[in-house]
Amino acid sequence: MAHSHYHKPGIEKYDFDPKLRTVSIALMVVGLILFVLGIFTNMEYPTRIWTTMLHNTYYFLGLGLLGMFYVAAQTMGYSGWVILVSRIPEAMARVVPIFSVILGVVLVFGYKSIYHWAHDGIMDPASSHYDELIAGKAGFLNPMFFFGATVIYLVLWSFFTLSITNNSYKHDTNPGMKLYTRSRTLSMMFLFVFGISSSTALWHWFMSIDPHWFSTLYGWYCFISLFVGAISTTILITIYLKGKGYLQHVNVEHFHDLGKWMFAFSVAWAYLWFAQFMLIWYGNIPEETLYFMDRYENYKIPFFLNFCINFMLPFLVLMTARAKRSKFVLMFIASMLVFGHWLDYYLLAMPGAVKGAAYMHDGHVIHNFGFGLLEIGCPLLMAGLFLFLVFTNLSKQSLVPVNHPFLRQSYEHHTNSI
Amino acid sequence: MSEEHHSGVNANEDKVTRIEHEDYIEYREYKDGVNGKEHYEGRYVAPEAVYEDELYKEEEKDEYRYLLGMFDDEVPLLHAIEKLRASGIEIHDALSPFPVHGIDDALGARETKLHTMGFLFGATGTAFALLAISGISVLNWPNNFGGKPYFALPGWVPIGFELTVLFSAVGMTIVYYLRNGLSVFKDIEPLEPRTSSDRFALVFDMQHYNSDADMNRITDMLKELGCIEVKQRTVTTRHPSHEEQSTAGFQGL
Amino acid sequence: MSQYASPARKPLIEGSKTYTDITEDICGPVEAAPNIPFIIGFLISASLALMGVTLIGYTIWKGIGVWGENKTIGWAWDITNFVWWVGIGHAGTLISAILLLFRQKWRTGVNRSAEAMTIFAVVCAGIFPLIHMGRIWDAFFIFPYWPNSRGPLWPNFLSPLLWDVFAISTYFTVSLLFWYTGLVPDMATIRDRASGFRRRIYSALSFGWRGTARQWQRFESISLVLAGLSTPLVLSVHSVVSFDFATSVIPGWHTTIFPPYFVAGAIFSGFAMVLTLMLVARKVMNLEEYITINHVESMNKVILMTGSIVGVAYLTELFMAWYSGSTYEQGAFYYRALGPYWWSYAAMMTCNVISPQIFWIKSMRRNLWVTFIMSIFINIGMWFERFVIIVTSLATDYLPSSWLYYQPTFVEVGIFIGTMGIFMTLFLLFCKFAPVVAIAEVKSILKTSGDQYIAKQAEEDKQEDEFVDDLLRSGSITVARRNKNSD
Repeated sequence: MAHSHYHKPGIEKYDFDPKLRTVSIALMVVGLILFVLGIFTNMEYPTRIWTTMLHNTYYFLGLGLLGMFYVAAQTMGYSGWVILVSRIPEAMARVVPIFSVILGVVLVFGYKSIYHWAHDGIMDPASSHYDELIAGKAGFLNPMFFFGATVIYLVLWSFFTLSITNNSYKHDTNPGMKLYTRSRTLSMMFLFVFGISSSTALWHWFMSIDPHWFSTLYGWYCFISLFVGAISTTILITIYLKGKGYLQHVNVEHFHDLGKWMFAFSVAWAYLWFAQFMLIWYGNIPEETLYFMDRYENYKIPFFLNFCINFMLPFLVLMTARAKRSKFVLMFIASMLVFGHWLDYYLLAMPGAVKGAAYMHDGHVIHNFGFGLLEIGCPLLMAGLFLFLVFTNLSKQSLVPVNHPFLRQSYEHHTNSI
Repeated sequence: MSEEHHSGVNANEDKVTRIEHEDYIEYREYKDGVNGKEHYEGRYVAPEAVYEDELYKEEEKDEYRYLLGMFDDEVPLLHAIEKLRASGIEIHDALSPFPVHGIDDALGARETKLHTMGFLFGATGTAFALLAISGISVLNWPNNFGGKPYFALPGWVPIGFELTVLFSAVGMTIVYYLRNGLSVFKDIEPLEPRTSSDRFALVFDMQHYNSDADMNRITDMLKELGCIEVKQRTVTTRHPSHEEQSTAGFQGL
Repeated sequence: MSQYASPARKPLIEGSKTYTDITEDICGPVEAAPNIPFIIGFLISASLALMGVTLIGYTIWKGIGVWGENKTIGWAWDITNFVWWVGIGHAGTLISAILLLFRQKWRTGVNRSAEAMTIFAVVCAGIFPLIHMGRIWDAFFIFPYWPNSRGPLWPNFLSPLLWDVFAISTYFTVSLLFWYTGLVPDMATIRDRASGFRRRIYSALSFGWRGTARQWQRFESISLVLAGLSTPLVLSVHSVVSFDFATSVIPGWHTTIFPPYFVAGAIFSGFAMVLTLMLVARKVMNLEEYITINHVESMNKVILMTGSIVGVAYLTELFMAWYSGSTYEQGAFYYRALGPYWWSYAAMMTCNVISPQIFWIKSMRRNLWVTFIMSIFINIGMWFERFVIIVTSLATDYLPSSWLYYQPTFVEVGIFIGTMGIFMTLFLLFCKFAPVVAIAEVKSILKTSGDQYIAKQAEEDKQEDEFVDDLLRSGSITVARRNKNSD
């Protein structure tokens, strides 16, 4: 055989680097201090405080959730090359249960501040705040349905992320095809659940922030935005681990392929962004254009930055094979994209919530388009927590799924082989 | 084969030098097809006649001999290429029924830059589409369509995109066919018809390796490396070497 | 070089084929004289095509008044057929381009014929917008040319109908280039086996291909770039088709999910058509060892996935129609599901969303009869989807006093059946004169997906495991190579 030199890679243990642990804890502490300071200086704007928390909690939860989606989709597609790095998105996925708890708390305590439809009197014909259009949506926008559905989404996602990753970890010590087959069954079930809940959850949590507005594409757009974020995070962690001397069998071919995914789905994101924007621009119906007008007028810089960072930058830079094979370029683009899609989620949540709150102050409209300690502190806190959890998860298991049937294919991976 | 020429006058530079040194006497070497005897014939060639035009004409009339090492699998083929090159034997070309991975590296071939052309053509398409549409809709005859601004960029994206793809694909395909020497009117004499089915062949130029010693050396090595058959083949059109196919004209495309 | 045949994968080439066998098996049908089923099939297809052409001539001669369209429903069977055919034309490029980028090796068995299908389907699709113009010579005016002799009358670059012209013609051109560029080396295989007049024909068709290392290098480069270009192209084409509807402000048409949802639907219907044709072709042309049951299962999985995506989109539309609070939007969907055309909505839902769920069951995915029947179901369902979108939205629009019911005439039905004849005629000609399976590409996956190589590797892996077990048992190695013993 041409590959008699192949030796099955053994279990590779990762020790949580104390320096990184300190960094992640420092991020949490600094983030928390800034965030608390932000809360104290913005006490009169509870909407901004809670919306920031919703935005950041869901963003980091979503990175893990979409990491799970990535693993599940690759499992269903019989993907071989990705196996050597698959432990990283799996470790990301395991943050979902913990962030679910935080998200639950944020929604319970903050939903009255975040959602205009939850404000007092909106659905009450007797009230001066009565809004007929929103009242017509009461079947969907009511606390019972909202929290009931939220619990279902979060429980299902936590169940699948834990059971799929546990199954994968168990495979390390139980060779054979049984657990591999089980991983396919679980992945299939997860994809089915995720295919529906990824849209409906986002309607509830984010689209309803702009309660008058609606777009059928919304769920898929939110999905693809976070998907790019999850791939970028995977790339960043892989490069970090590789730099520390781990993952010795991961080579430039794996990076090339990860780069292709990041490139392709950045283009796919731009496609959905354009589809949604162009159809609303073209149709020119006031109820619909309002959404973009709010963002274009009051959030002009993030609005354009969003498109430039998330599409123009990766599209132009990652076009050549050489760029996709350069760890430095990948690291740069991936960090920009993690930020860019965070910004995208900021634009999904904040403008509508702030405007909804402004409606409530009849007479004197209080628009608060600020970007300050709150918006800096909260992501630092959540990012620190995310890093801490992901690397703790990584250190508990082998970095290589040693008994995966396609491991050897990933080991012998060559990008240009068809 | 009735008659096999081996001309002293050809594109090979050191042979040309030899002619000049020997007072413009060109030696022709004939091998009699019937009894295998070798004949020599000398003729005087005027110095000015040995320039390019004349060389080219001679080339067309000639016949070209190649040694083919046939394989029935790509693994020994790749191995053989490495071994042969390591021992200093020049491989004229390699033929295969499907793209064999690693063959470019084994032959020491440069990478193709065809895809760069695709990018350039694509950029031309984008520029053309956006310039043409903006020229028409803003400068030449502005019309109000549904209250949209004259400079309605989002509405130009679809056509801009389509023309980018069209220019890129068509331009690149044209370059591909040109560079690979492919055309409807081209009728080739395959060196070995089975290389489009189930055989892999290493081609050696017998102008280069014309002595019995060379031939035996290559043949022995090939046999050792898993070659199933070694044979000679004479054709009337020259088969360019893999380097010539790569460097002739635009380098590297 | 990735030559490891993972025993966890299913073989894609059965019967322990060698390179020689592959050439013989695939070139065989091209080299043999046409058989009786072929001639019968060809005669039927050609007669239907002739009927279609005659009725198209009749339409052009008399005007589109011979169709059943009325003042409310100005787009009906014609545009339904157009979108249906364009959709079918998506599978080829998807299989060749997107699955190439995703390294799905099973595409090699079906990509060539699916690409051919793409081209023929786009030909059929292109007919409808042209004849719908009524005065077909007006087609001249949709092309911008310089110098413009029409004064202010440039084509409207903001019109999605013009985008369609660009999208469909680009798609046709690029698909043709992609298909033929891949076909050239396979034509050379036939050339090198032929003699006399046949050889001269295939010599012209194979463009003087030699199969040198450099030619293959460029071939791979252009295949990859054309795949990279075709991938966004195939998405854009059906997106642009969806823009024809979604840029309007007609309830039921103006919805942002249309572009990706049309693309998913196109892949769905395209795969169904590939299955319909290939299930017959593999039987008739003895290609069961190249288009295996594993290929069929993979395609059924794609059908299940895209069918479910389409289903999610249907439900999203329904939900958003209610959620929007817009009376017209709500009305459009109410009449779509329960109005005068409820039967078409029911047919669409049954064929596209409910019935494909049968493919969750493995034995159903691997059952050829079930697959064949399902593929027909989906072809019908996807036709109804377009009918539902186009006709029901127009039939019950803003002004109830102008609501009308639409019924096709024999001319429209005849033209539709005629385009099927054109499609089948072209496809049969392709099957007769070109290799139906991509010869070179199938050879390039033989070492990783041939059943004999997979079996051999499974044996080797087993032996290696036993060898390591022995070493561990005897204590000669204690290294953590066998992981069950390491921790």
